[in-house]
Amino acid sequence: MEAFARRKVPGGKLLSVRLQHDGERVTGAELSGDFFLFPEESIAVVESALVGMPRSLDEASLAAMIAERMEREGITAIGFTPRDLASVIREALD
Amino acid sequence: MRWRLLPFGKHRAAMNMAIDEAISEAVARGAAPPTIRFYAWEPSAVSIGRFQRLQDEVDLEECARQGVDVVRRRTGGGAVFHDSEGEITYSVIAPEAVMGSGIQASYREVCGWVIDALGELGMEAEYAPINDVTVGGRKISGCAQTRRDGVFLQHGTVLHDLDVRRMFAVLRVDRLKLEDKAIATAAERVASVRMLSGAGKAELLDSLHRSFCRGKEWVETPLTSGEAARAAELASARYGDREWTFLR
Repeated sequence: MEAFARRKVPGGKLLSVRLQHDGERVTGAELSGDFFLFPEESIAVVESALVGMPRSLDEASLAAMIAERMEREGITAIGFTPRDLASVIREALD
Repeated sequence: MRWRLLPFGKHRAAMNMAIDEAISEAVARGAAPPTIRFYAWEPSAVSIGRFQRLQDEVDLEECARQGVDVVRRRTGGGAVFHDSEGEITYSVIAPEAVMGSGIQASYREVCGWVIDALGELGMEAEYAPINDVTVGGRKISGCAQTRRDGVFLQHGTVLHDLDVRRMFAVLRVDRLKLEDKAIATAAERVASVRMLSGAGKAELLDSLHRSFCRGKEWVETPLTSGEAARAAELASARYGDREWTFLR
């Protein structure tokens, strides 16, 4: 199944999230928008971090998971925060 | 440290982006000095951000009809219409140590050079974080930055004379983007040097040149043959490649 949401982050950038899920878990993820991510290739790391997440994962846990992963991999996002991304993902899945 | 200023050049979209990357690689190897270039796009082109979905941003049929090039940048940020006559694009490529590690601070610094240039022409411009320069709340310059292998790259455009109808014929404008800008239409979001000050393009280029080079030791020299060859390679293998353009 497909899920989609997008948001203009206040004071930030446009963030679109396209997810595939099987009802239980996320099976595919694509982020797009006019944000910045350093290094650019790390978009794949962020996307793959979402694959396998339970569809029902709450927003706070999701934000923490994304923040932890980005910090561990040395990824900097400009235009959205892990909380913004988590919130858009929840919007897509709810 | 001496900077290099490249002679003004007009190129196809893929070549413009390839030149930036070839210079970045040379700077990373220590084979090129920090470099500033001003350039234009021939034919007119749309560049989209690294993470944008092409189909969401660009009317490809309209681009084809008008002979407008389309290229995906390696920098993030938004879609830009580069009118071949209507704007001046700049790139600043330097070791990260020269520009500092702070992303916001360096956006502010380079945007400050644009603001000074516009100030010289009588416009009161201001930095509008994250990556815009505005006059009276209307965007006149946008930019995008990346850092890779210890090299800082920021490229951006300064609108000189804007054909708003043409611009919004090829760009798909997202209503969401306008929501928090408190203005009604996309056209009201933008302004051009000619509209605001009457300055000609040569005057704008001179002014940009002065403010970007202020306080720097610099010399005007062209790309090395090595850089030019690498740029040609990147223009066809990467920036002109359909797979890259349609990446997402």
